[in-house]
Amino acid sequence: MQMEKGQMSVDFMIATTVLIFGISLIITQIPMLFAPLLTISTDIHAVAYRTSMILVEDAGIYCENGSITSAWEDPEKNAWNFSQYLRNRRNYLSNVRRIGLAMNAPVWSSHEDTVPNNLSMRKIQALQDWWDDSANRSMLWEKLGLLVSYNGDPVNYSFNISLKSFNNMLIWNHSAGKPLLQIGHPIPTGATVERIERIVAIDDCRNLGMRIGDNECCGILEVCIWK
Amino acid sequence: MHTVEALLALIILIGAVAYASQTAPKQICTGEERTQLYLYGRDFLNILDMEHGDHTSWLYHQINGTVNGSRWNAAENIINEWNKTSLPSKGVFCKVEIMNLTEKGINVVNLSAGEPSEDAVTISKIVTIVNPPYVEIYEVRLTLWYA
Repeated sequence: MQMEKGQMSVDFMIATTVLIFGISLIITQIPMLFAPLLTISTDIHAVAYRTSMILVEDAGIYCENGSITSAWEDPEKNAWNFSQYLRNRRNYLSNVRRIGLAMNAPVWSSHEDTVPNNLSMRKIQALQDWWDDSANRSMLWEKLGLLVSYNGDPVNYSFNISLKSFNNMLIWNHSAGKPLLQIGHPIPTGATVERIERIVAIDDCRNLGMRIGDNECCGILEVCIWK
Repeated sequence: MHTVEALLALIILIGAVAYASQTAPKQICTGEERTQLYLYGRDFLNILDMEHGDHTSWLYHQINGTVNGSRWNAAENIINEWNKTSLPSKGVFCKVEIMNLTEKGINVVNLSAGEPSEDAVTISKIVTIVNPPYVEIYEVRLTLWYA
């Protein structure tokens, strides 16, 4: 007599149950089981973290004839802006080895060289001017540490870096009629984008951002990185 | 008879799935979120402790005013500064504790309200109050968590 209804044996169901137990135990006991498959995401987060650290806690490096200074935005201390250095110093861009935004420490400061979390207005403006100079923009990837080499292959990270007030609006440079700092490409939708926010104070400014403690202008430096 | 077998199998399967779902790691706060909390806290304390020309800071004066009889409430004032950042509206809350490390053991001298979650992140800053001939060391603990 032909059976018209399908049946499963108890043995099979017990085996399936043991299998589910086994898989769930493996997944719960080894949280990093799938970490190797997530290299892109974990790598991007580390790059975003590093970029934010360099910008907020480092003043940068300018090297010329063996002489090193962190005042990359004005290495000769003659109050030139980015365009003037570009026009008058042929090797200016190549001499900038790393870009940082932290202000240089005053002589009375107990900080050795830079004041972390206190961004220099002149460095911010120099970085924005560099981005606005489309002819030399591509050099920024290297200076920000976003053009790296893995096993000899160059890896280029895309970025969007901006200064925002605490209400998530861009901090505006009213005299220039543009955002104080907004560099990089628009953030794509659908891609894995790692975002790091840093609370920063901006040196030598008025009516920008929010007052926190004794710092007149505070806001958020937002660093977004993707591949 | 096969109905009883099916019921038995169903119960076993449901039990297995229920067990698996309960033993799954309940990760409320990811590593990236904890890193972000840590950075929020460290940046915030760095900004409050930004050095003046006389080597004091806003944080220094808050603690000095609280512990030396000026009726200040440093923990509450720090919370007020935190609220200015609008981070509470993003679900990031904080608790402040100020501890005296120079007396016998650790003594909480001032604290704010708030009940941190289990995966909260604590960042601290040491502030040295100089009132010659005495030097007092205080620790400002900022505990941050996502609501």
